[in-house]
Amino acid sequence: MDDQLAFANAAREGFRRASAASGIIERYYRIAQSTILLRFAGDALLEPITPALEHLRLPEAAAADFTIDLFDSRSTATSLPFLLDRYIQLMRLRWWEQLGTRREIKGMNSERIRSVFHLGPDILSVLDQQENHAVYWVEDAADIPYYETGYPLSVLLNWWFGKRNHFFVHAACFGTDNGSVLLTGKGGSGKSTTTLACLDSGLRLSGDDYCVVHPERLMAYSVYNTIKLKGLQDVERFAHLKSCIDNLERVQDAEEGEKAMIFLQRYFPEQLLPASVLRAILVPRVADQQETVITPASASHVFKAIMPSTLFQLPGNAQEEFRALASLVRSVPSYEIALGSDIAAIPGVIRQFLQDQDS
Amino acid sequence: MSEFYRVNAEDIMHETIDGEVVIVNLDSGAYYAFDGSGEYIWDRLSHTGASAEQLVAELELHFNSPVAEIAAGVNNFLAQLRDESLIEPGDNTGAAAASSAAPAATSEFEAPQLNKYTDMEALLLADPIHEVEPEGWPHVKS
Repeated sequence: MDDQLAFANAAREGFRRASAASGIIERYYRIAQSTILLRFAGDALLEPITPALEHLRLPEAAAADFTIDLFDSRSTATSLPFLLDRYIQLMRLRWWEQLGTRREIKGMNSERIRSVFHLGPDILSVLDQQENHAVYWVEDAADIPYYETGYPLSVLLNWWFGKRNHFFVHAACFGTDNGSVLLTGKGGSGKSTTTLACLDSGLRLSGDDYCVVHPERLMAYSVYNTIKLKGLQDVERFAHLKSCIDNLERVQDAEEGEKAMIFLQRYFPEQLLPASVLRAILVPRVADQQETVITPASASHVFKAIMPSTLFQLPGNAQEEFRALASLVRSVPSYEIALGSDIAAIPGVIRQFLQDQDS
Repeated sequence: MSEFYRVNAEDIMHETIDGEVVIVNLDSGAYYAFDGSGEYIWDRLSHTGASAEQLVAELELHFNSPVAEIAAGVNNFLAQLRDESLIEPGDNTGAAAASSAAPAATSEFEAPQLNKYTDMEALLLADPIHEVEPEGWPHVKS
């Protein structure tokens, strides 16, 4: 434990030095009924990190429940403390010895301290649960990949919320003020197409890939206002969204091959749903028919759809998450949605379904 | 006396939902599901532990099928669970079967079948630099 605390304190010391050199910029957010403070050393990480959270920003706050300190070494001209820097070098060279299967740093994870190293962009995230404090570091803000900009800080937020009975789920969430549905399924199941089709349809979006749920209160909360399109095919299919795409140049560039992203807060803020009562969980499948039909499904079918990708994509509190997801599917009605070829008709079917749940 | 088994609680997590048992091994990325008489067997293994002999004797009370058929189904299922390290040998504490978990009385015994899902394994075994899509881990190249 002493090593872990020293590791977390070294990350904290790195931020202290960086902020002494470049100043502190504070941003408050209200996420799933908690106030989160992001403290940036300098402004280099503002643009890669904050757009996806902008819809939940508070003008000011008296206190924060959870504070994340963020800095990069390049813009602040601040190196990591020596021992931490050596540790990072070791992880870059011998990642298979130093990192677990979900990128967690071996020997640096316990009930109190959690740490991951995101190899590639080389992002270090260290959380001290007891202090409600985390540090997020990257060598150069330009190394932040577009998917981290779309869904920033998910590892730290998932850990912290998971100990407070709020859980990240890998699902889209949309609905109205009267309630919402989670849409969960593997790649190719039609989740993304359905989510895009629901834009501008009277249904509002909490998240296209992740949201936070409270498994007892049966509430769903938005975290990111991001929506992504898969490649040029989706861009052409939903051509009316093309002018809103944040990274269109890099999507068109075959070398880069990024997914297109839109921050809804910038263009369609009224289409966002910050919080809602969960009415159902839907597992989509592409059906060989024109009509879209929703039919009851077993809770275990839904569990097998939502559990694996939620658990394996985000390093988290696995035991608690597993139990929370089981509790969720036992409490929220389960359905399968057979998606018809008439994509434009899908939102109407879901809207009607939600109205029926309400009556 | 046949070997006594318990659930390998250290390495796996499991939940029973709507009569279906779902098990996940976080280290390997594999997850599993089964239902029917498998649910009864799992309930016994996870609460008190049991031997194949005990399980066959208990299941025989609930089904009209020949005991040899039940024994073959139970032994095959235990072998599958053992091969996947979902159960391990343990000490017999002498605890009795939990009556609440008794399977519904039906005329025919259906041998339980372990379904294994491996779609998440590639995610865990991938080289996080060379075997991922441009959008990075956890998006593994197909």
